[in-house]
Amino acid sequence: MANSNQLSLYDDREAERIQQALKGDIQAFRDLVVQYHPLAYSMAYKILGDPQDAEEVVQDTFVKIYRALESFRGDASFKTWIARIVLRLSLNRRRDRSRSAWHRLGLHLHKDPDGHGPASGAQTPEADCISRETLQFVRQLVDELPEPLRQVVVLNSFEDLSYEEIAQILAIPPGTVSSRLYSARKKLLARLRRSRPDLNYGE
Amino acid sequence: MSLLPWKRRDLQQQLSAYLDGELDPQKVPSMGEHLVFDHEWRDTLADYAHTDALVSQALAPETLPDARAFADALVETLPTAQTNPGHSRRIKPAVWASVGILVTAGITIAGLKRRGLV
Repeated sequence: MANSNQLSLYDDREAERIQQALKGDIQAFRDLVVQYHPLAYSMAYKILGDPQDAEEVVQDTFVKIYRALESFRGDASFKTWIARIVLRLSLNRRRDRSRSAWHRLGLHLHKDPDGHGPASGAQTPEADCISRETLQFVRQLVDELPEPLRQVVVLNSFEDLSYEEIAQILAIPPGTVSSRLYSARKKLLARLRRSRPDLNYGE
Repeated sequence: MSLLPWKRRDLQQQLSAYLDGELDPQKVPSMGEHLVFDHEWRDTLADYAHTDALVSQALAPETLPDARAFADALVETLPTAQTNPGHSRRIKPAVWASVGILVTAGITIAGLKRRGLV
């Protein structure tokens, strides 16, 4: 974890980049894009579950940010501002997509000839221990959560986002973030216990 | 664990916040006691942690695209993106001029009609 001096240096550098970008320094804006691309892409992917859709949302996000840079007043952090735009654009795309026949018929959940479904989790050693089928099932459970609960689950899966930041992104009180997360965990746990006893949940 | 339902719910919500390191620091010692003395709380905490780990893996992208390559490609399009007239919703001056001429003509004709000249 960064100590307070490192954190302060980091914030100063970011503030300087933002100031330079506001003055039209395209290189400074590029540096901000490099800095926040992983967060933006991961967030879009976690909401949409599709690399192509996520890339398009991220592109739209940064173009939007570039056009609206002058309106950034620093009331919220730059990270929160970006996250808010990614979230809104991803939810819009998800809503539009859910109206398409392709998704209504479930064709986006096709399996390839090797029996693999869509992308489902990073290939870490731990991930290898859990089958793709299980991860796909868990993603489906998250997708089936009521929208307000799903949003906090997705945002809380970023370890560097605090309840306070999640609250700012969603424009809700931090206490509501906490209660929604609790409700979501309870629902997910109940479904997993019921549907997947093989995952060794206690009872 | 014989707790009233509302108290139990409150404590379980605190447990959820504790897992995220977001529990009010004043409540942490009391949560610690629950966890030390009651296996049910420890089991629930472990189940929440297990669920979180599954969710994180299930939602995570398989690979992250190269941020630098993305940024380079993006900035090349930006100057045109910012001034692209195709996205402008401003009404062109010629349109305003046409509207002005039509309004003026309408007022003139109405005035002439009133005086019986047309």
